[in-house]
Amino acid sequence: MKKLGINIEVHLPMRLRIYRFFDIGNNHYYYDDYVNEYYTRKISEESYLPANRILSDLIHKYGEKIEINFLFSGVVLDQFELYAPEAIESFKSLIGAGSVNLVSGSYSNSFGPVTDKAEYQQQVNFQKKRISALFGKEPLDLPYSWLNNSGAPYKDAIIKRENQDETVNLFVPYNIFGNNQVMNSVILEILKLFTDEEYSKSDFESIHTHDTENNLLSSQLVSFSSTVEDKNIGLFYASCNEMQIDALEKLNSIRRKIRKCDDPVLVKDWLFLQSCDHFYYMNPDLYEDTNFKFSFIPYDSPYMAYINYMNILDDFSGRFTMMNINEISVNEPAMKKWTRILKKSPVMDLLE
Amino acid sequence: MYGWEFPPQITGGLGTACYGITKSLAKHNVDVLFVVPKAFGNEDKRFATLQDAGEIPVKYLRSNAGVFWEKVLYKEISAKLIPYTTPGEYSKKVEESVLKSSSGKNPGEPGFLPFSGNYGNDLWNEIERFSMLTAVLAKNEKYNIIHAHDWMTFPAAMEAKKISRKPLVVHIHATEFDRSGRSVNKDIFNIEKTGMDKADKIITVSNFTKNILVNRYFINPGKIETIHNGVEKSSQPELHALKSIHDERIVTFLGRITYQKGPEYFIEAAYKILKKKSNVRFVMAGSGDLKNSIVKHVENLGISARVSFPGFLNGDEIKKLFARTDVFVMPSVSEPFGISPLEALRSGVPVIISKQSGVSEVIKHAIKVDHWDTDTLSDAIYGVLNYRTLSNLLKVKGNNDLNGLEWEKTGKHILDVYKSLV
Repeated sequence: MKKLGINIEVHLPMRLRIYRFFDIGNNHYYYDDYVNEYYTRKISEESYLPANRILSDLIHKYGEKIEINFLFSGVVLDQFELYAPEAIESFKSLIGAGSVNLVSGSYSNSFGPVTDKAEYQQQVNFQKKRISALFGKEPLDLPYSWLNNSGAPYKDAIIKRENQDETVNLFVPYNIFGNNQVMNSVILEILKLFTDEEYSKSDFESIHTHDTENNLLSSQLVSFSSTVEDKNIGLFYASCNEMQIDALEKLNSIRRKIRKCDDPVLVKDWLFLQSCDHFYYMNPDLYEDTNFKFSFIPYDSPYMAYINYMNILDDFSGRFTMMNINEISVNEPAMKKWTRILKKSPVMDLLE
Repeated sequence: MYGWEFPPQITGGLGTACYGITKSLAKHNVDVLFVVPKAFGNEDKRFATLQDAGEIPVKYLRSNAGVFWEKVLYKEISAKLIPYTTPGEYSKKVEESVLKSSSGKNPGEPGFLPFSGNYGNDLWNEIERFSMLTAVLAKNEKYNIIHAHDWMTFPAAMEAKKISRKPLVVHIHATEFDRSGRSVNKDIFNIEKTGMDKADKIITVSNFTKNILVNRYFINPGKIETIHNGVEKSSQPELHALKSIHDERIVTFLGRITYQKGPEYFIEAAYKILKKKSNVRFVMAGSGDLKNSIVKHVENLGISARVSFPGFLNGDEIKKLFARTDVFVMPSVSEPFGISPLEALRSGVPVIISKQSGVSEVIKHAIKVDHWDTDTLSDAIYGVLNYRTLSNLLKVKGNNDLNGLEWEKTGKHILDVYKSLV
């Protein structure tokens, strides 16, 4: 084996606050600032920064044999800028060390082209602009993409072998680096790859990075050639439950309205609302598996997750029917929060 | 088996559960003699021999009354629940009732004791009379097990155990803590605890109740077996509901309008919803000690036009109500089991239930909320009314959850408990 590609996906959704039916029409701020700040800072300090240091060491040791590809969602960059700017600094220095690429993908970590190709393209454009502006480096378009199975976050790292050029690609959701044990086991696996030629004959392989036996929500790696797409769409919808499909249809009905809109607040909301995580919480299996320690579950049940999200979409949809778009955010404190978000990551630049 | 009510003459879930239990035991070839204070003649007697306590002939009443009187403890009874009785008054009452029922018979000839079978002012007296009869029954009937349902029957059951030395199973369908929260009646608590202590095995209708017995009554958990209640299968397909002709959505509460059932939380949630959505009707079917104050509260909130109080409904009326209900709510403060949401699911109605209930242990597809959290409760109700997909999902999958809640399973489990004692 000549080269090891480590593909790392970094994403944190903008978490939604408890949004009641009586908020519809009255309150247009959908996010839980406390949770977002807490969780972003926590994961940055406990996972990302330490993991970056380890990666930095790997690059030092193995130089050209390693290639690291980071896929950042736009949303996680928004959260870093708001709540954990030191994470940005850490990634910047890692990127500067060489052997690191940035990869293009959807701004929201949405379901991708499976649900709407044009929307996905728009999101990729947004994400690329954001990354270029922030890191001063143009992201690459790689021929594969992460496709979530019903919007599940990844629990395992996956190895894919490209036998032609003898590259082994390792796909890692950065969130799994939740503790040192996990980090060590992944690093051990990586080292094994370099030393053991006969490691495995199969194309795909999972490294179990935690102790659960049944991995209910394993991610699927998909290459985007047109022949595979229809099958993916079918598979994708087949794996969704009625609540998820209903919510996706509601999103679709709003899509037409948002295309004509250039209001920065609405566009930002639109991007935040499309994270597949929101749909993930509508999966009943999540509430059964008591081993789901990695995921923070803000809801009691998939039904309340669905109700919360649909209430928000109801309000969001309603804002487009208002005559005067400037009157949207009547709520003063909400407007202040929005100003802060927009200052850190201006959307107007994306829209140009 | 000792019980206090049997369908159709029921006030709540206890009678329904007793019927389900006896029916399932019969299917497992267990002969049940079910003793109630009063049988009304219209009961389904296919599965158990129903014994009306008022028809048990009692001999030598006058001399026996004295003997029994020694065993009756002098009790101070809270005025709220039952009338105060002095020892002198009590024995006078017994003799009076004895005289009334024997009417013209001579002492020494068989007479009968009167029972109303309800939970009225005479409750303590009825409980004592009920226990007096066990001496008669215990001697004359042949049985292997004594099985007593809830505290009213415990004095009787304990007498039976003493006389016959057969094993005693007590079945807890509700405790004083469920019924009264903080203001627990000490006398009832004592009877409950004595019964549980003297029993050879205790059956509770949920783990929720089992925990109460362990923590509040200090019972050894090893002695307690949780056996969930079941639900009768419906005879006709009930999923095709007659929805309202108007645009009005109906939210139903079915149960006694009393502290335990959380009626105030229902009304608070109703108020929140009506502020946003006006074409909803909230139906409170049932009667109870809090009914008048709830009606007043509804008036004060200005929502009387949208809240209905049809009173206590019988089986058919309940089915008709369910046929028109869009969502069923059970906001109980402390519900040992709760058969009514299962009946609602059987009728194709999505349900929202209190987390503080036993039935939440057996239904998967229901929205479960903390009973006091009226924001979440109202949000859940609104969600089910507003989002058709959710309503359909809960209806269909909730109905499927009923598979596996057959009374047969309950009966088998109870039979296993019997076998372990015999």
